Amino acid sequence: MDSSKIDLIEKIKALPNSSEDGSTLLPLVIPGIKTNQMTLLEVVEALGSSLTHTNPAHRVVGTQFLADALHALPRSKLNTDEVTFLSTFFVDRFKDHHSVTPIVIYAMLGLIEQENITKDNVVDLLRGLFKEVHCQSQLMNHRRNIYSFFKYCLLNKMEGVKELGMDFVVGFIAAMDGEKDPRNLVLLFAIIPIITSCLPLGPFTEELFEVIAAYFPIDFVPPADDPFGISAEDLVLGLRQALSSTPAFAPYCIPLLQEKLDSDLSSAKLDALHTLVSCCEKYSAEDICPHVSPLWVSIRREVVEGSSAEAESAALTALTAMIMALERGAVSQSARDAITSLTNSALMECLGHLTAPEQRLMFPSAHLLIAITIAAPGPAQHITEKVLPLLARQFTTKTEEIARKNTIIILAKFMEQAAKYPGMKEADGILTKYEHLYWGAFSQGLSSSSLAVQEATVGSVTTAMGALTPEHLSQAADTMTNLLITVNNNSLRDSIIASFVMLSKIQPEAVSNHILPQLLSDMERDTSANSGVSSSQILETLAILTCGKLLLRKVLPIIWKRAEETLKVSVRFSCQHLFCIQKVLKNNMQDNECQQYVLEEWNCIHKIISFSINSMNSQDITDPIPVLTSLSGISRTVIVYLKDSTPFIESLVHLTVIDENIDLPDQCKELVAAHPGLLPLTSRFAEADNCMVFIYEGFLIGLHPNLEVLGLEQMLSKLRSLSVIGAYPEQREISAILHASLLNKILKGPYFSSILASCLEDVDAKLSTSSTVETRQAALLLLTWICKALLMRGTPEETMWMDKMLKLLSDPSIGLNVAQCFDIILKDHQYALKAETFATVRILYKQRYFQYVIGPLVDAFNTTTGSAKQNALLALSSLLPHLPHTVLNTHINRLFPVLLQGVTCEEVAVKESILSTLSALLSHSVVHATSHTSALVPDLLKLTVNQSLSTRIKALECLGVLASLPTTALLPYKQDVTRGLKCVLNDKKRVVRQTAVNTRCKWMLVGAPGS
Amino acid sequence: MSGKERLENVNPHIFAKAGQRMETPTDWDDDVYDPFDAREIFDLVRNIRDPEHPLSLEELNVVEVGQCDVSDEENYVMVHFTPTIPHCSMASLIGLSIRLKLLQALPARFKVDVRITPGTHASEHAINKQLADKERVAAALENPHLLEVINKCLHPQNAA
Repeated sequence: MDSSKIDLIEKIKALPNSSEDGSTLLPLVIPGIKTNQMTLLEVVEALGSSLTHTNPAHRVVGTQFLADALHALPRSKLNTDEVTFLSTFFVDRFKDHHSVTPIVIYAMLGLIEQENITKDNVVDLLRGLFKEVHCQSQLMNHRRNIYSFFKYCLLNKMEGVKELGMDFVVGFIAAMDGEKDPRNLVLLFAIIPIITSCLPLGPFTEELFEVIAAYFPIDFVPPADDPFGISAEDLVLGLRQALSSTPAFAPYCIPLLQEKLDSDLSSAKLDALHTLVSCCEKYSAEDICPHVSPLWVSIRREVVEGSSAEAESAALTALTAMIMALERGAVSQSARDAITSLTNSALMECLGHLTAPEQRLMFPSAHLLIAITIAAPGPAQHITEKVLPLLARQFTTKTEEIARKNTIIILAKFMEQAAKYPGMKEADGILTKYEHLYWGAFSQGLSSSSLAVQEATVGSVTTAMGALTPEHLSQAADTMTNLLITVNNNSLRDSIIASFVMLSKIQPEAVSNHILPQLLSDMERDTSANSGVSSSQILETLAILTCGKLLLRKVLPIIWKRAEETLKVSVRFSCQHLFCIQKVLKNNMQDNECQQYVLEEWNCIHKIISFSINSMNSQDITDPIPVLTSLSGISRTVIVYLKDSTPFIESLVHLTVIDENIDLPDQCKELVAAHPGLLPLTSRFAEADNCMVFIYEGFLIGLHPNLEVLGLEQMLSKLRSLSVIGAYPEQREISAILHASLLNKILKGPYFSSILASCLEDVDAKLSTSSTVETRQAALLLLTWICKALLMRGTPEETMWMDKMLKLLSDPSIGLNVAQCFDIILKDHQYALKAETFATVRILYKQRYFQYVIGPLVDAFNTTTGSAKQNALLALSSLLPHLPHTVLNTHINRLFPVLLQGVTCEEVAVKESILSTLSALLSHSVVHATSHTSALVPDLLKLTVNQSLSTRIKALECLGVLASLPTTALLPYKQDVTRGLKCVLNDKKRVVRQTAVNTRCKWMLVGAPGS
Repeated sequence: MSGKERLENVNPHIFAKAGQRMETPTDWDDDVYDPFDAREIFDLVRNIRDPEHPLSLEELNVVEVGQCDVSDEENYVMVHFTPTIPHCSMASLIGLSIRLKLLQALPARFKVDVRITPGTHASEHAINKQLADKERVAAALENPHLLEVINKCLHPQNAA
């Protein structure tokens, strides 16, 4: 070992001259020092010749080696003496040649992290650094090392820094002054709050502030390919934090902000307002007092002018923050005076505008007063006292619709804020004092003859709900329920429902005692005279409001009964009720109490079964499918919550496969006994006109994966046959979907393979060219769903099935249908094969599928002709809308040429599909179109005339999106487009004309001044 | 605009906005001809922004649906607009904006007249004459500074 050590030391000695590189030597030396076979002192001695060499380049090598060694050592390695020795050495080295200094700084950064460094060492290092090194003459990364050194000292060696005190501040100012690099600035802005909070700034406060304030407001645009990811936002937030870090900055900072507030630059204004907010949180009332009135003037101007909504809201927040800061210091007379005078001048200037509610300044003035109300109880009291009676009386005296509307909206906003102060709602509070006055306004508004006023009042009741008394709320609930039942207006109804939802949170009794009984009785009364419209609205409201076991118990049985009663009158009407029930259940089933009620007490599942049997057996009903679909939806919702549903499911499956002669197992017996009509229906499960499959779908689609249910194989085979021979299209589709959902969940293995094999057999037989077109189309749907099920779970067989579909694309009779089926594969179904029905879904299945088929499809497009070409195109365009844009972007260069050719395709269905895909694609990533504009623009222009309505609109939309390309790319086409669209402005359809106007105006702006 | 220059009419009356045009069942039937009507013309101009305020001409009641006249057969469109105050210096600018918008958005077959509602502006006749003079309008629209202001009124979403 010794020999190797000597060898190493020799190598170190020869470092500057030898061919040996410091970085290859270092890994050999470090383990030696770590295990104490060698000391750092020995290394330094060995480096001696290079550290003291007359050639600076040699000294660089030596120092670099030492610095790297220091960074590589464990933090507890060096003892106090060694650290002192090294720190003295480095302080001395600061004076060295300019090429050595950066390395010394780097070495020092390693040394400071040693645990045994003393306070004195830190002080010496800092002093040396401040004295000898001119920070701004260093390169960017070396400056960064200096700042990191400061940061480390401030965070970990505060004692040493404190000893330096103001000297540190001076040194820091000198080091920071003139810094330009955004990365360093982010670091520096983060250090400043530590300095201002821990060190005395003394006479250097202003100097430090000036150094920081020089950067305000930040005007930084990151370079396009910025590898460091510094955003303007980082800098803005850092600077804001630095400026607001200490109240000592207040005398300098507030005038600066004031100046920026009055500037012309909207970004500076906005930044100043945001900074003012964070300063107000830190500064004291005394700091702010002297500046209150000029700030008020600037803020008021910002709000009144209302040039941008963002600036307005920032100004209002700043106003609130300012008064909050004053309120914190309200012990002093000056702060109290400032608040009072501000409130008074605000009232003086704004109150007049409140009395002219039809004019523009009403809203800004009200917003200013509200911002003050939010801030503190004192001014709130003062303002509310004046405003509340004024507005409430004004509402009753004004006659203009818009004046009344604005008045009530603003009144409610004031009440909302006032209600947040508990004092105002007490017996002697202001809200209580004017209770009757403002309720008078509200009740008048609700019964107003003008729809706009009514709607505004409903919205206002929602806003001011916190301020209204329970009695008034109940009255409001009654009146609004009446409105809901009698007035047929969508937006009014929406706002009433929103108000009810809010009410149910604040005062649930009002909902159960005042709203629900009225609604339910109205629903029951409105039997045969069903206009349809109003009843569905009432049901919708019921569905939204029914929440919790108490209400559920009240509502559910009544609606169910109605659904059963109306079945014979109108299937559509009954479905509305069932749909409402599904919504109610969806909203409530998470709750344990509700579950218990629905499944056990109310016995939902048996109710569903008997309802469906009735609807199928009834002679009066010609088409039970809508009802069955609704019932299936309800089953899906509840079956998930049934504890241990397997026996029930098994008996259901069993009923479809048994021979009638065999004895039933016990659980089936119960089911059959409860529903005598069940067995005749289930035993004919696979017959063409049997609709039992809808109910089965409801119960079975939510099964858990890897299921093992007796008789599943027969069930699947029945579903397959039903999906082809079924008498109704919905029935065939549902069978295919249920089949796919079950297939998706069967445990992989021989059982699964055997099922797949019989699937293949069945599908092939049905698809064979000898079958009729209808049969083949039905079998195609089955095939598509099988593909989807396999693709989503991921099996080795999936490629065979996918190829099967691809091959069918060129089929002359069903090729077009095949292309349309590609849409089904990637499009998310409403519920089937999704996580909510416990399907097995592997990640990125859409991407995998697309990756697999894009090649064959593009090839098919390029190599074939006629209908096969069109089908390939249609298949592609059906896939595109369902893919994430990141995936599309990677294939875009391959896709664009295909889509471009598709635009000129003859087949209308293909053309329209391509156009809608294209407009979606373009609106996400229009840049990709740049190289294709020359072909795309003329093609699209051609499609804007003499085509079908939707083609014309789609083409216009695509052109409109293209207008957002960079001006230089567009200018060559501007004339053509604006001239070409001139005749579309005269299109016979108004909808087309509207789109044409939008598109043409966009193109007119290209390269025009003011764009 | 810093707002240091005084606004001429700081506190104008604000009016309610009309809702979306009601759709008729034939709107999407390609075989039915939809004639140009007053509402369609109004929809074209109602969202033009006032040069002073962040408000649309509709909200300021400068244009109204009742003040737009159109005859599809006779290829004639007439829009009357009402300045918020009788001595509004922006009136000709507003008129020019409406003109330009209609120029861009209506087919060439229409003869378009843009006029001030009688009796609502001090220099009504002068402005009407200005707006009716094709050459003066064309000359004005060639002035890049003026065009910039007008384009900002026509496309408020683009104005930074």
